[in-house]
Amino acid sequence: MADEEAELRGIFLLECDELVGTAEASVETIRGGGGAEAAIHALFRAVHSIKGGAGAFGLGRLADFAHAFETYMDRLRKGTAPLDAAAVDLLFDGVDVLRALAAEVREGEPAPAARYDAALRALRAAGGLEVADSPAAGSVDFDPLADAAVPVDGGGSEAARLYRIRFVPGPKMIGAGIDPLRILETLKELGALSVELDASRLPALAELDPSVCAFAWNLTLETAAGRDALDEIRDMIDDVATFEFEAAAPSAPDPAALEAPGSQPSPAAPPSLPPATEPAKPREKAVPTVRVDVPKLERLGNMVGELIITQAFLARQVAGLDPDAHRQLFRALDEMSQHIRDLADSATSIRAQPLRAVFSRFGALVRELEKSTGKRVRLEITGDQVEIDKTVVERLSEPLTHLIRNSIDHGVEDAAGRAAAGKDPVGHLHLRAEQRGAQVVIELVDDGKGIDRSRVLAKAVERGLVPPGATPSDQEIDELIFLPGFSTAEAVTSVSGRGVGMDAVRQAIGEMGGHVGLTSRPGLGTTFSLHLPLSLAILDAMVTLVGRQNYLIPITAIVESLRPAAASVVRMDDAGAMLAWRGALLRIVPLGAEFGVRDWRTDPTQCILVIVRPSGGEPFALQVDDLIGQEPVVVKSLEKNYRKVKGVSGATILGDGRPALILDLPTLSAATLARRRLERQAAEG
Amino acid sequence: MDVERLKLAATGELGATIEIKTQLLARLEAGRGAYLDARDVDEPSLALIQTIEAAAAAFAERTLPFGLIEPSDRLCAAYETVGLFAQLMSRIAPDS
Amino acid sequence: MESQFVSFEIGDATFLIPIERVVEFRTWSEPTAVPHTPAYVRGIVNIRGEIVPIYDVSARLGKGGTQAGSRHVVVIVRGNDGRSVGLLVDAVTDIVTARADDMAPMPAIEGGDATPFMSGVVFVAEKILGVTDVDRLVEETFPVSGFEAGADAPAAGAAP
Repeated sequence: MADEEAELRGIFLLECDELVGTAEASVETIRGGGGAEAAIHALFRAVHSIKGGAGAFGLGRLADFAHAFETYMDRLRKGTAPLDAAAVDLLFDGVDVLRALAAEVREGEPAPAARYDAALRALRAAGGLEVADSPAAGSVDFDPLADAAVPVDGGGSEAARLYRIRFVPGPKMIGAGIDPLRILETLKELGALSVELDASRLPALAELDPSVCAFAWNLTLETAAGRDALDEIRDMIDDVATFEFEAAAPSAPDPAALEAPGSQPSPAAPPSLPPATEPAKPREKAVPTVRVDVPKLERLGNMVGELIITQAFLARQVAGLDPDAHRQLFRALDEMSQHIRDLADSATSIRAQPLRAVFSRFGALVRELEKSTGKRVRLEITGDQVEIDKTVVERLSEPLTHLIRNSIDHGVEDAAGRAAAGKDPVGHLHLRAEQRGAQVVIELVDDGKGIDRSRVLAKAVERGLVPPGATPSDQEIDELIFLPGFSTAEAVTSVSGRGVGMDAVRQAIGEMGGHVGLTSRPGLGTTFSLHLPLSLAILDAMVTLVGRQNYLIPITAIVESLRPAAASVVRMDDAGAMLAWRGALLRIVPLGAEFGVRDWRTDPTQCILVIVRPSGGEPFALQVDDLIGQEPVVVKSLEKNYRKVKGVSGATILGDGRPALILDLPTLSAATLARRRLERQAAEG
Repeated sequence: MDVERLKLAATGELGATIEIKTQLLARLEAGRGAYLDARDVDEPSLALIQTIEAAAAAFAERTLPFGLIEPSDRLCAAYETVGLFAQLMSRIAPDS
Repeated sequence: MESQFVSFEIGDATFLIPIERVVEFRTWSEPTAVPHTPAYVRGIVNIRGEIVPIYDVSARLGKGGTQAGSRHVVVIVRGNDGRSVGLLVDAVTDIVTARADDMAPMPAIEGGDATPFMSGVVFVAEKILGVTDVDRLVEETFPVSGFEAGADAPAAGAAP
């Protein structure tokens, strides 16, 4: 029993983090002024849930504080307390203390007492609670009637909720001038839309009438827009399509309760109200969950990986067969590969966690930095629903913290500087994430002054990192800040000068199998981008041959591949060859030379040039002996038993059972540039 | 490889889509592959997307090369919207 | 207390590996080459879905690279940190059982290149055999002065 209790408590604490995150996001919205009413309700519910759980697990201080917070929130909701700048500050304080209290329970690190007392007193005063009305720890009032007396639904409140939608365009829809694509786009604008396509009715090409939509969709939409918006869409297309929707409760324990008499008939009634009458079950969710050991999940992932390799092997074995004679076999193989892909996706999603878990902490960080630097910064977060491996999420916190500190310290100007540059006095920091293929890309965009390249270069020369008189390109100068020990801070500030530099960020991301890039425009700002692999990454790759070795190039980076005509290859005296391509000159990077491969073909006109564009970089022409074909492969780590290798992002096992390396194009191009430069300088000096 | 490049029009309106379907069928019947140059697609439509998908299935069944070359951002976004982003990724062809 | 060791040969020398560190034996086949690695890293192989590097023990001990052929053996070992590495050796010869009083820590000064990779010695049939320190061998960054210099492939040291 005790174990179970501890486990439930663990789950509550995890949930608590999420709730604090929600609360914080709500306060941000309130500060921004947009949709304040919905945000207040969301905040109220988050705090209420924390109170319920804390009470149930005997977490006195947390319950106590949440109670005072909730009481104050109630007054804000009813408009009996003013919602002004002071109120927003108080709310932020409250959220910070909630977080500290949750950490106190989890890690035993006591929350700062002074801050707790001050915030508690302020909330009690603002909430109209007698300061003397201080309940003893754990004695928070959980009288269900008292809670019931607080109508949690403010009436027509605009909390986001889930809708399941079935959308089947009829045969006349496109002809009637309504493209089903537009309907989906409209839905996407309403909120977070997840799309499940049913393409089973797609006829053969010869039978296809392009004007008859053969697709149908099952959609899930999370929106605050309410039922009206969906009604409107249905009315518009009612006669040419089937458009059915129903509300789904994301976290209500019992959907039937939503329809219970006496509850708000409004479709937008907030469904996630915690069961106030059952404080002992704060962790109830509509979706039941089980706990699984990580090694078990890893085994599952490995087995899925094996399956994909076996499938590739099968595909190689049958490649020589006559497709007409073995139609069934090919079809079955196709189907199997689709199933394996779905299986792999599922296996990946099990370990995934939304980035929100780490992103939600940065609001507090930015506010702290605003105070310590005197600069004003607005943090915008998008894409925090993107999911990535749990272990990666945890390890992202430190590097991202450093990048944000760096952007505010070195990037964003102070108010005077911004005014002089004709910018909004409040700096803008955008933290965004998206999934691209087998990668998750996280970008931190600031609208500050950009990298001062002349100063970076001067510093690098001064430190002997670059020979005097060298003329590196802008991109190369930007790369300098990632060198160990490099820091442009004139004085060691309390903010960034903590002995960890951008090199630590690059290293941390590298250890997770990712890489960091940056682009900067003087006066306009800097963008850092972190590229991270998904845990069970399946990559569509082009298999190439150099010497007797296979090397794999991610398909997404390939622009085209060609066998160059002699006239299009320009030989430079010392820096190798260039390719004239679409009116530009591209560097030809012979992979054989770069990797020291034996017996590679040196003459570019006897080779295949693969034009690649590394994410966020310049295109170049990779010279390989030959192309073998395209294959989906499972990315395996080299670091697990060996280490990171320059120019290589990982390995995979090909159909013949042998490992092959997957090229890491960004570092490949950077390494080549640097090597050419060194060679040139050696030749000159 | 006997592959020909077909250029997709900027708009995915029905006329252009039916035209491209006809061209694709001709290639298919001739037993030749096709790469669709999709860099200029500015107004993708569902009609266009389902035509590409049906074509991809048809060429794959005959094991003829088929792919999209440099799909425009708009086309990528539309693929994602209809729930076919993964398929799009597998359709991107090396130029030849 | 008895301990078991696998004995293997490099040239005319015999060394031991604690048997609990040995995962399996394989015959040599040319691994997949990896760029920018020291000469003792011969490449990577696929061991049940995992990518495992192959170290040439002779090169690692400073005795020169092995001309590997089909009679050579790869011993897959596991380090304390869970990392697996394949060790290319000339031959695996025996399984040796030693009592506790047959074993001694590495003598302070033994001389010879192999010393840094030895954790102790075992007296077997009037011979003294060195016990390889698997964790050291597996540790990719362990420096051996003068040995790795110039062994890196072309682009090494050319980071921006």
